[in-house]
Amino acid sequence: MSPASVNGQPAEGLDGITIAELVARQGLPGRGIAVARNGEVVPRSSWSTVTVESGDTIDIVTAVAGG
Amino acid sequence: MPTFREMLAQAKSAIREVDPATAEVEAAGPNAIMLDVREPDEYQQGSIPGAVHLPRGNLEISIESRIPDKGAHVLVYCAGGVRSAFAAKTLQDLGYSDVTSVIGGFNRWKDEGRPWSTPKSLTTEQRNRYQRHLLLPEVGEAGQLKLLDSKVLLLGAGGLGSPAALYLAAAGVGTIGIIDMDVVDASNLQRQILHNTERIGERKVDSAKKTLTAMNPDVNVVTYDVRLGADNVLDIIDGYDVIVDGTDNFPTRYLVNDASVLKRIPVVHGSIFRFEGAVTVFNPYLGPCYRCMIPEPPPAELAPSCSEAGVLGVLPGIVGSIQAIETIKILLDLGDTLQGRLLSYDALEQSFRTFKVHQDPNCPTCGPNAGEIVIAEYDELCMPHVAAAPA
Repeated sequence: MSPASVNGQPAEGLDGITIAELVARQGLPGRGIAVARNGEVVPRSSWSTVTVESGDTIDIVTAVAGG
Repeated sequence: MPTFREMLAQAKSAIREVDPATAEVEAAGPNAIMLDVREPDEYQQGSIPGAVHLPRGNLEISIESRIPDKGAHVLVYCAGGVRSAFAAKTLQDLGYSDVTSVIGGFNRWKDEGRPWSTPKSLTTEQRNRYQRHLLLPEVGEAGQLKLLDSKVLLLGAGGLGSPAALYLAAAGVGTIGIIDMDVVDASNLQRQILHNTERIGERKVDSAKKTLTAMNPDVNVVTYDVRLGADNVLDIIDGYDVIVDGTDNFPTRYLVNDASVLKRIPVVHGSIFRFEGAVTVFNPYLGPCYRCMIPEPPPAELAPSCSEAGVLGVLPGIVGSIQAIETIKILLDLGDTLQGRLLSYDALEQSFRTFKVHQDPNCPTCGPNAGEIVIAEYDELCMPHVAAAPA
């Protein structure tokens, strides 16, 4: 299996960690972002239970407010 | 060569005719259809409710699409009963087996006090203006009339509000509300195409109204030159069919989310930053809300505004136009909206991506266990307000 990718970049060593841990490892704030696993946004309330699996595509979208 | 009188007598001898009283009874029967063959201007001044309108000049061309059932009991009327007699004969020749002409036509029907109404229909000018919509079966006259009857509220007459408002006005959305408390500044004109150089210093809502009514006089532009806040948001959004969110800060976006969920008004959300934009549709309780997707805004130091970080001027043109499309799709119940999907646009990559967004069962605003929604001002943290415990 290929490693998981984050925002299009292959990332090693993420298998089995939770989304919450992933966010922390990326040095991101725990708020103001949406994390999509394989194209589906993981609700914030599930970050500590949903885990990254081998081959997953993770996308992190930062909320913006400009209009 | 027969004369007109002879032709009429010939037609009448070949068809069945009934008086309006009989026609009214028969029209209520099974498989009955009233067919109005008068000209559009006559029809617009009054017609029998529920009648199919097809001017006699287009009868042969269009009847099979308008009344496909050749066994239907078709009651044809015109103004006085002459054109309908000829039309009835034509229908028989086309294979319609149960056709009747109404003696005395609409004039006698009306004189006898039978029900009639002024049908909602497009004027000649509107027919011309919206011709390209009328050609789309998915819009058509019914859809265009629905747009003209619709009310859309635009939050902000800025980057996103400008293209959204222009296209919604052009499309014939009948009522467009615009809320904005700013005045036009020269630095707006790089992207806010509702305004222009002459309007610098003018209130944005006034400038917007001028541009939109010049674009389409059908549109009633309602302006709100106020700051959207907890004290006025529920009153302002009340009665609108769709809200287009083009505001420029997180506290207002969360306020709008809570208020729209409370009032159950769909929101077409758009946001822009530098070279990136996002669009989605929040349809209260039917799909996720803003808080299901992003429960809280990013820390202020990570969320600079466009006035601090810049924005490519064309970007809101793309994002605001997609918001206008989604708005029309919601109003006309067309296609698949972005409800439950976040569309993310990157102008530098020139790429669109979509992410599925689900309702969060733990959403503090719209989740099944969410408490009563409290509308109150947000600080920069935008944390949901908790309803006071009952005493």
